[in-house]
Amino acid sequence: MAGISTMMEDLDDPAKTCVYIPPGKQSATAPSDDYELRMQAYRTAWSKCLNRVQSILRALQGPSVDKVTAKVINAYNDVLPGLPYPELPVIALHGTNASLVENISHAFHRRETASLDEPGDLDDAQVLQTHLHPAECSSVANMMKGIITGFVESGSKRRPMTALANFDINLLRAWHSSQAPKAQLVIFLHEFEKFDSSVVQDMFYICSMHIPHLPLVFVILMASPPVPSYLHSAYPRSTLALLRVQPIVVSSGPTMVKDVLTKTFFDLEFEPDVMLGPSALEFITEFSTRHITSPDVVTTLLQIAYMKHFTQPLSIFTIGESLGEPSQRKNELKLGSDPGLRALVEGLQLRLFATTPPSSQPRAGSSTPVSPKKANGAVHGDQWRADTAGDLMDCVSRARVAFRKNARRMRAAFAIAGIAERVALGAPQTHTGRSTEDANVRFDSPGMLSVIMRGRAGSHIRYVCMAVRKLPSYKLRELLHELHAFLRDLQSADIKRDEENARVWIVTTINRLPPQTDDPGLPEDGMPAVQGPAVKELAAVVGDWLQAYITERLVRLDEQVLWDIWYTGNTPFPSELVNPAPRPTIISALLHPHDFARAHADMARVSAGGEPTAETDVGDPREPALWELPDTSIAFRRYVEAGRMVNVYDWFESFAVVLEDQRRKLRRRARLLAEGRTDDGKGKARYGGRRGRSRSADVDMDVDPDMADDGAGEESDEEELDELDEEEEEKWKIEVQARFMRALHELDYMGFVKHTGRKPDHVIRTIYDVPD
Amino acid sequence: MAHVSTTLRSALATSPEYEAVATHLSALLLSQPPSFVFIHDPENSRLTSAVVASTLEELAAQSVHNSSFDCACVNALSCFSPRILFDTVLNTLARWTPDWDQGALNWPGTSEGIRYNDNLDSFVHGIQAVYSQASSAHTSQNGTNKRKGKTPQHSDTVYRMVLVIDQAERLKEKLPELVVPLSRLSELARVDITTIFISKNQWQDIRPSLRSAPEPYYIDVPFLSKQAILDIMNHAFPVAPSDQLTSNDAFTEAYHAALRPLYAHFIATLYSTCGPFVHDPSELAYIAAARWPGFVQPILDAHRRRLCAGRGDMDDGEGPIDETEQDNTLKPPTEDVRLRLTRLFTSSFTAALEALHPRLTHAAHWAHTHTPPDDLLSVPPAHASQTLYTHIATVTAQADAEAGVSVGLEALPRMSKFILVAAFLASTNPARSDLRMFGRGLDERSRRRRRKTGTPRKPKPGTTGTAIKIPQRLLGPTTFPLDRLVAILGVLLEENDADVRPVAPQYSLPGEYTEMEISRVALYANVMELVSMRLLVRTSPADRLDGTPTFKCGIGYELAGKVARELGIVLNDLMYEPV
Repeated sequence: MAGISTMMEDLDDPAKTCVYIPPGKQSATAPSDDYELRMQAYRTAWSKCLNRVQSILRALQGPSVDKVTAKVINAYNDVLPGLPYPELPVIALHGTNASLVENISHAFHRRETASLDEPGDLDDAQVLQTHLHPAECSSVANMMKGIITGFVESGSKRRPMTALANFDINLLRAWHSSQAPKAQLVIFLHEFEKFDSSVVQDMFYICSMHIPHLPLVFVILMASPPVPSYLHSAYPRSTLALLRVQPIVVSSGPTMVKDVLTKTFFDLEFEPDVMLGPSALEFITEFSTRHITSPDVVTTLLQIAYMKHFTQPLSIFTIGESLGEPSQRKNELKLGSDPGLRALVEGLQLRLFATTPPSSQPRAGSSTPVSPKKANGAVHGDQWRADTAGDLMDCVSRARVAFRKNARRMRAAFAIAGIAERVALGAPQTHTGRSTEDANVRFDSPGMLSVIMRGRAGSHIRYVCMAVRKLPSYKLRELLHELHAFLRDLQSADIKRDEENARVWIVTTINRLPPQTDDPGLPEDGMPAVQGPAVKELAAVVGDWLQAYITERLVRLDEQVLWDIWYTGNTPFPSELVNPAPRPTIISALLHPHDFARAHADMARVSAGGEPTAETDVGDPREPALWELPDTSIAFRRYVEAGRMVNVYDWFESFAVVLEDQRRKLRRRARLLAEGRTDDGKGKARYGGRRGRSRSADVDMDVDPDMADDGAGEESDEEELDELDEEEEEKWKIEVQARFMRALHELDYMGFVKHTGRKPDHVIRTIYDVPD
Repeated sequence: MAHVSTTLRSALATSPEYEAVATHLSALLLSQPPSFVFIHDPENSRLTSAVVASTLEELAAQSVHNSSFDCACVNALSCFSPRILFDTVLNTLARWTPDWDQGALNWPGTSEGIRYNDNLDSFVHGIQAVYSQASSAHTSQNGTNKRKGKTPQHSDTVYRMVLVIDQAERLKEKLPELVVPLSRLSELARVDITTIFISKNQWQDIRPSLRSAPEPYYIDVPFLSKQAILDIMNHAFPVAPSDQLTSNDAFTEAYHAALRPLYAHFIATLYSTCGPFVHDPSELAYIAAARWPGFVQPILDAHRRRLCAGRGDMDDGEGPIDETEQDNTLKPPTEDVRLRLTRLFTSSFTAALEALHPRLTHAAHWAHTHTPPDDLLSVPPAHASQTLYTHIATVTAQADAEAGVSVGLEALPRMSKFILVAAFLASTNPARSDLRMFGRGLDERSRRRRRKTGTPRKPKPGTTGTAIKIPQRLLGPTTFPLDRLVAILGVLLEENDADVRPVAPQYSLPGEYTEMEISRVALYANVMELVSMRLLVRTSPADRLDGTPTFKCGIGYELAGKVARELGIVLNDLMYEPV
């Protein structure tokens, strides 16, 4: 309630331009104990994943950063001799993003501080930088001022008017000649496409007159691709002739997404706390190839997938069994006794009963065990029996170990399958994105990840193993050596121990290979290699082994016990959160306000941590009549039926007719209520001051009981009763007008009405084809 | 002042055209100069200003005929505010360099704290102060010379100041209020100062109305002849010190003195290829700088091979070292080698012109990618050109691969490509044709196309055929509102994307899925992203919120066709005027 009162204060405060009105009821959002714990788990899991993703992205950007740094350092060193005039070095970065710029700038900054610490190192040329944005460069004077004050340390004292102006490049020159180590001056032009091209032209000219005395280097950051080149389309030849433009394309796009996903979820070096399921993976790849490919978007999508996962109550156990208590005993006690965790315990027990690993007993249907306890005991031999809180904890802990092991094995199999494919089928073609089908049949394509998670990669594995069986001996050797190197270089001791058998097997197989000298120089010949009988046999063995190895390990993770604690499975990605369609949503909300309000209430409840309760689902299948809708919806319905231009008076008239109907119906109901349940003194019929949505719920509630006698009303009786005295009539008219005005303004606010200004009392519709 | 390399600058003075200008100017300045001179060079004003600047510097340095000079050359473009112009002019005339440690103060004048950059009036005072200070210094300095010199006109030495304003046409837009005062500077300041304007425009285009500016003394720079250009470029050959041949830098050793005769021939061939298109000597020199290192590399390779062979012999024979010294010098190549090289490389001159003149790449990069293979001269002549082409092709491919896999529009997300195609269609097709073009199915469309391509467009028999309509795609893009773009996009998506996109069982009605897709936030974000890439051009102001925004397509037919092919759209079927 405190929240509401502060909210009301905020609403009254004219200084506040923005007020947050929380959805749903205030009490529903009060965080429960297990919610806090879950959020804690989420924070741990996500920050681990985020660190990994960020380090991958940084590694991906490394080459570009190095390239830019090298080009800046050597900007005035390797100049082609014999040029008629010195050129202004410009490094054009295409397809940039904020993090890359930050990395580059950071690299320069490091260099700056490093050379300050140990001056005199000639190799470490000093670099000073300044950043310019389009907004501060509206004129040549402003732009030059930005450049000069960016380098020249200002603030010490205001120079007198008899000194050089701070937009005069001679000032920069005077400053630079006084500096002891001559630093390169790097100027970053952010969002280069938004700069005024005539200003930049003049700036380039002025700067080009002072090189090489002033070692200026420009780094222009562009979003556009190098072809068609923005520089060449926006700037004249005379300006381009002054510059030495070195384009650098920053690698991003599908490769980046693939790398992030593979190295986060399918890399043996890293164990994510939550494994993404096929639908989330599919959505992320699809969204990034279809709509926006940027590192930030991928990170956001991953975060939303994580958030979504942690809306489940069971996800409280993702990180560990701790429930916020110091000892395990206390945790168990809490789980057993805390009423807030009651639902959690029940859910957990239900899950454990229902779990039936198909490997142990494929016959027992997991869906409907007749007597859960008995079936469970019979199937698992008390393995997953959990009567006490301690047992529950124990089960979760064992399930975690099992799940992690399986996930690890799956990652190992994925990596090995990738190696086998690369050796057997050759390097993947460059990703031109020419045909999607082609891209899907490689292990290193992003589409493959979800296929593997669904357990549908069998045919491709068979294909790769078939190719392995036909390998010539030198290729076979290469394959085995690569596999061996991979298994040998594993970082984690656990995984190494797990894969010990595979390694031993590979070592023995390598020893069985015919000696290398027996190979004629097959690869040089370019002839198709012929398999000797011994090699053929061996290759077949290797192929069989690989197939068995990979298929054994590429299991579906959602067949594990309690899998949904660590795995998002087939839960659909909440795509509406990242890519909503506001206009159709508003229209459908106006057309079907009750459905919309119900859906919104469900969502608020789910986000607050509760399960969607059954009562909300038992909706009324009947389409509510027009008079039952909120005012704005009524006005909108009338609007939909109008022509291109709407006469506001006619609109009002038709609106008033509906309201009249509404009033009559409500009065009748009030009368019936008064007759029927006198004790239930619910005063209705006055809605004036309330907002549409809350009111609609009330209307909905009250409409239901007298559904039946809605149609059979005694009209004459009603008319009699509905007669109003003059004063009431007047009041009613004013109310109708006020309600219409409010509805109209709400529609106006939502952008459905355009005022012409030419024809009085008429407005223009802004949307025409409204679906029903 | 004008940023031209020293070799080119010294070379310029040798050409008869520029020499005429220089002597004309110096003769004027040494006798009775007009107070206002206008030098007009429509073609190479940059070179002219370099010539003028070097002439004046010479005059100022030698101070012959009892006259001494101070000159200031400023660029009207860089002096975008009066204060910079005043500061620069006064500092240069007074030969004053602002010192950072002293607070970067301007020339202080005769007494401290006087501000000369405030307005025109103080500037004129500044000029007077500079003049009086400098002339007194000069008279006292030249006091002894005067007696020996025996000047016929004056008993006293003449001190003169010259103010050169380069790119004077920019004054008109940047500082229009200063055109007249600068042209009348000697009148205003009542000192001996000559103002010289250098411009590529004519005085009548710069002159303010009302005839308030005096009529200048005109000097027109003549058009450079072919021979003059060749001479300039030949003289600009930067002779490297001969001992640099030992250094490993292939680019530096290309300018060996022994190669100079070859350079003359090279320039002549280059001019014959590029001359019809480019007249600017600096531009030709730019292309030459890019091509020359590769051109002479075979000779240098051959020379180095000979050296190595010689050294190898020497090691075997243990001969005296001083014999190799003689062998070490690079000889000018024979006529036969010259012809071979010319034949091999002539075609690459055109390629260099096409790539470098519009600056599609820069000279250093072009020179790197077009380096010939090692030891080209040892390859038999019949295969040499083939070897050269394959080598260049591989080097270029490598450089492209280094630059990045995703070069062009291929890297864009799929939806962006659809938006681009839709934008191209919206910009090319007339809006009234939309219903006809998009309102029917795929099969109907292809039928129309076949008929259309079957009959080439001819003027109707009755008409003269002069009023043939030019297709919109050649006239440039027209603007379109966002709604139209989205509507066309909807048709494209429904026809070409419906079976590729992920399944969504919640949409049951035909077209409902597309309807939802084209109203999603990501689509609008994509449009704005394309605008920020300038692949779409927003024509309505960005800060206008009401009303639908309008755009223009930023790509042409070729690119749009390429993008459409990637998406499987037949662009010609959708164009009102198919190609």
